[in-house]
Amino acid sequence: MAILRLSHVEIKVPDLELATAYYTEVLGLVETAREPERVYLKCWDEHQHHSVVLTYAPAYGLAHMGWKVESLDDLDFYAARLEAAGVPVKRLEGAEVGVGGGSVIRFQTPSGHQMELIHGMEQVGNLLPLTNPPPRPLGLVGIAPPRIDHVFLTVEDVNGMTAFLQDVLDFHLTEQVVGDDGFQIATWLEVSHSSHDIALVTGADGGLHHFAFWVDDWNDIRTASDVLAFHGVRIETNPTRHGATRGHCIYFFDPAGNRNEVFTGGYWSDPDEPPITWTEGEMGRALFYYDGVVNQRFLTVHS
Amino acid sequence: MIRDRSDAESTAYLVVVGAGGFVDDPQSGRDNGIEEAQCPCEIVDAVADFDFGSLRRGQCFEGADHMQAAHARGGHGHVAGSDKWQARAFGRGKGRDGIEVGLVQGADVVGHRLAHAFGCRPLHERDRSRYVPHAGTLSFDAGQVGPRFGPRATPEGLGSDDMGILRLAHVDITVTDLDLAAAYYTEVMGLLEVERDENSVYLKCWDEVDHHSLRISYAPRVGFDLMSFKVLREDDLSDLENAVGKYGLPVERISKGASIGQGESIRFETPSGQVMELVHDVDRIGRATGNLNPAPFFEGTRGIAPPRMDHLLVTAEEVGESTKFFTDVLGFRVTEQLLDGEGHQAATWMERSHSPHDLAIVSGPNGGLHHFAFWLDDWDHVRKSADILAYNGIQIDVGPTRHGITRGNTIYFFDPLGTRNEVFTGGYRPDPDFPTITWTEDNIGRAVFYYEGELNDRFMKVHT
Repeated sequence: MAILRLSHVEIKVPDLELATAYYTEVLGLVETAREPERVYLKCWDEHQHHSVVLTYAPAYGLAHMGWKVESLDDLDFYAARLEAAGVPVKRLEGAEVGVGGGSVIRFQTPSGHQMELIHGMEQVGNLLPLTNPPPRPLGLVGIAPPRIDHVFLTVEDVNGMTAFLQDVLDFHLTEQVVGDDGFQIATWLEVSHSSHDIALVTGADGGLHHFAFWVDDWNDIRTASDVLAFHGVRIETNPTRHGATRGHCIYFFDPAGNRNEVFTGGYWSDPDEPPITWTEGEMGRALFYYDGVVNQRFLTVHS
Repeated sequence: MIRDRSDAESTAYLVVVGAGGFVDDPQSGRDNGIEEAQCPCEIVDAVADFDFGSLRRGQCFEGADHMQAAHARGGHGHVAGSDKWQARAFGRGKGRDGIEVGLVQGADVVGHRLAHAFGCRPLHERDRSRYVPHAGTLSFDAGQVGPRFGPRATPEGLGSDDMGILRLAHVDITVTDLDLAAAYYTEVMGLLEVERDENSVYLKCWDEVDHHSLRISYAPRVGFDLMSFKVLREDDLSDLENAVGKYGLPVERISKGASIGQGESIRFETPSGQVMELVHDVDRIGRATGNLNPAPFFEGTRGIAPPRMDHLLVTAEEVGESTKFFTDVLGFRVTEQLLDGEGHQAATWMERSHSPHDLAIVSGPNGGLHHFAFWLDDWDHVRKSADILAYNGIQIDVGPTRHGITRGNTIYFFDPLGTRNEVFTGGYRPDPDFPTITWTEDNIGRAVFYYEGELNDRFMKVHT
């Protein structure tokens, strides 16, 4: 009985065709549905209808994020929790939810992000048979990550939003950067035994710092870098490593300006594990272990 | 045939003073008619003297202004450190096709500056060996320089491949703290200490057979003593000694017993001011794993533990001229080149060992060392190296990332005293007939750092 993992993100883009071309040909996602102002995409190993929705908007950024819950009852359970915490909740069913359907509760977090919990999204299957499947389909293009991994948000009150995720939604804190004043500068939380499913960093409320796709290993990070550079995608960091989460990654921007990441590595976390703390003085290493310096662009640019 | 009127110490230059420039650029292959005309032809002008002390930026490049000025002009040519500011232009005429040419007399540096003052290219950087021998008499004998090792002497191309320089043997650097440097190179880099005397520590990688690949010596400043390349046969030493001598550089014989770990060698200063050593007789102390049923890796090292030294990058004021020396006299082959906006070589990568590069040259002050590099097994080894470097608080310059040029995977970082190191893997395996790959200046970012697409200032400016 819980939130299982990140289900999907809906991303605002001012040029739907360009963004679709990028996410299908460079990232290598699969288009599963299209509306006049929306394109639905999934990674090849995901079974559910979509994990990325591109929405036409005269802006960029995060429209909303969806989290998959284990059972229908979870929706009632968390709706009650949220309302008790003073967060209004809207319930949507089937066609109200849109393409892919399912049952949803939608609300706004204290940090101003649109969030929903979803159960029962249409299952379309991954690109492999369920009987005697090969490990990977042929004919993938671009980076072709197997799945979406996590989302990283900017929030004004990291302590407050972290507590909300922990207390109301049962996220587990794995790592934190604590400022010299004792307040959290950044936090990483998980619900799926991973190093993080969501992370927060001090910044504007409602902002999207980046969302990340999983790749298999360090070699795939290099291959992803090759693909990105080949296509002239703006790469923000070289292939590098995080101190926090220990993951390997590369950051880059979609044509609209939303930051993307491909990520791998890290560790498996159990809910009873105590959080790892990084001090403000070591924040450079926490974010980029090799470079060891705080990259101002990385901390200030978001969508 | 026109005789040089200069004294024996000066060098003659041909410069184009017409607007056309040397249009038979080696890259484009277009013909300017000069070759056929055996220029310079008729001298039509009186002698003119130039005082370069009065030239300003924009007319020529000097000192710190050079990099910016040169960059603005397309990244060519560096002049510094000479007090010989006098030169003389005493020949001016027309080649076939009506292109004006001039004959300039003066020291290398001044002649080159004069060429710039004319707004034209000095001939020597284009094809010095064919037109401008060092001794003062103009001659156009194609075979005069590099008779045996130059590609011109072996037009079939492959004849010299099995003789001459094998690969980088060792790099000798100076450090201001020998113990600190030794600790870094053994514990972080994971080299093996082979020998130590009061002033120097000799180090090798675990898979290297020869006595050492790195010598660190105490000195009051961080610097670069020499680069040593190994030749395949004893005979190669005297052959190359002759070739270097014919080019006009003094060559010193270092006798057996003068250097630890090796026998006789020859040394000379390259046109770009680095001391280069060639050696054949090296103590073969064996790889750490031995030659009998060896393990595939060596367990007794800490840190990165690269299997071997790979290459080095030096800086040169005249990349084109320097490259010509290495190719024509020493038999290096250019795998890749970076051309500036005017078509001059801003950097070159050269090999002798079927690797993407054993030696590379980039525009910068003469005598400089940009970095030397160790080979790693693969991209995972690159990651592990980055982990080790960061753990030990080593300042990483760039990476992990990938080069467009050489296609290699890399990290740059600094030893605790400030010499830049690299760990490198990947690339390709060129044969001697590998066609040279060219990168243009507008792609310099991707050429050097393929992912970032841009260079950082530190990488461009810092060297030892």
